[in-house]
Amino acid sequence: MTSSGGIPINTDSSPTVVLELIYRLKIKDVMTSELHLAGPSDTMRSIQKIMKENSITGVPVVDNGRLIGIISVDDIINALDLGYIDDRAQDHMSRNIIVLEDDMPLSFGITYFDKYKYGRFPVLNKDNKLVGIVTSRDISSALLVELNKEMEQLEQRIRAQNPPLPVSHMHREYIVRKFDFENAGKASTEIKKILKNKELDRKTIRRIAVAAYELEMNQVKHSDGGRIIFLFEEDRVEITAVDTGPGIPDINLALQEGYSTANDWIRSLGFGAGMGLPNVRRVSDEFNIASDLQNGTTAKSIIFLTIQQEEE
Amino acid sequence: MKVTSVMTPLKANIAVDVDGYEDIEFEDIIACDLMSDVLVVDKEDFLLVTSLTSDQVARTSDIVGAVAIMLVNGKTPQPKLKELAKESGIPILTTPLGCFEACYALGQLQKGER
Repeated sequence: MTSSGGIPINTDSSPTVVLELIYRLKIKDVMTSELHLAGPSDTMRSIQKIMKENSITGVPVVDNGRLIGIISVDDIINALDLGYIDDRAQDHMSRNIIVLEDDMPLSFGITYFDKYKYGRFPVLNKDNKLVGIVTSRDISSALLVELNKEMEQLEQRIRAQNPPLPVSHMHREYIVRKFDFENAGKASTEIKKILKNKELDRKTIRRIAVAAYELEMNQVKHSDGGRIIFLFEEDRVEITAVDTGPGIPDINLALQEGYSTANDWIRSLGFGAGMGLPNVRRVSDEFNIASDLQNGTTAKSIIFLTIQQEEE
Repeated sequence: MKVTSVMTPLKANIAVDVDGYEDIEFEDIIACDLMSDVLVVDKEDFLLVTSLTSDQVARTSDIVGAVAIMLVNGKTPQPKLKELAKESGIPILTTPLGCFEACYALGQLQKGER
């Protein structure tokens, strides 16, 4: 809690948008104007009925349009407990009422909730006429609605600043599962299909497809599973293979042609010649790989498009 | 060389038929049972001669741009291989010849073409 104005919100670390909102919004923006009122001679029982029917916890008592008291659910409980539920409201209502004014900033209302520990405050206008009632729930939902509006505006502003990616940009992600030979290669086949529609030259498409396929097969054969991320941009294609483990103990060894840790049944499928990573490096213009035994392996193959397209 | 032109000399049958396979021509021949090794090859439009019958044969062929697959030793493609080959538009032929005999026969045909 900060000392400035006694608002029970940390004004140092709260997002400015929230602070702006509680100063900008007025009590009348968050209050409920639909009132359920009682008269001074109404019985406590009839007020309990109003509460039950409308799912509310406080009923203002009004005489000739003037607020004279309030009955809360606590008063009703006491009435039931002490046996005066059939008494009139004016005999048991709270008369010493703290009210809010409809033109006050919301921050003021929040301070009141913190200061007086009441569940609700009646709201008067400048003519001292009862115009609404506000609960902490009203404040929460109003803030949520307003935050939502702010978010929408923010999103619109971001959209306006960053127009949608042109068609020449593309991003796809494929999930690869350990030992799922049934679907092994599916991601790469799809990537190749996408590239075919891009009218690139065959050699480039093939290099990208080979890089994707080798990386994908590596994930199926050796990793605990991962993702193949395909990024198509104007001048390049990036294939990134991210897995969750178990990591490569010696990357230099894994990059040696012919080095393989594949088992017999992987070999029976035609793989595991120890050519995978060296082959990815061979077809890539840029190739990076990082691996450790805690976080798994990330390998990225970049293939530039401009040079090949100019050669066409 | 047309795929169909090697069928009689190799006593081959068509196991997976794709639209217009009669017109498919190959430029080169790669004989290999290791798909890892096929992925290292730089050639395109080749006939892949192999005794492997798993679906990865079709995946690999599609990735590297093989135009047809020849299975040796009278092997027949597994159902998944059939399905994938069909999808990728790559025909599969089967020959009763062994790998060496099939390659020798293909080599003779290639020589005759040149």
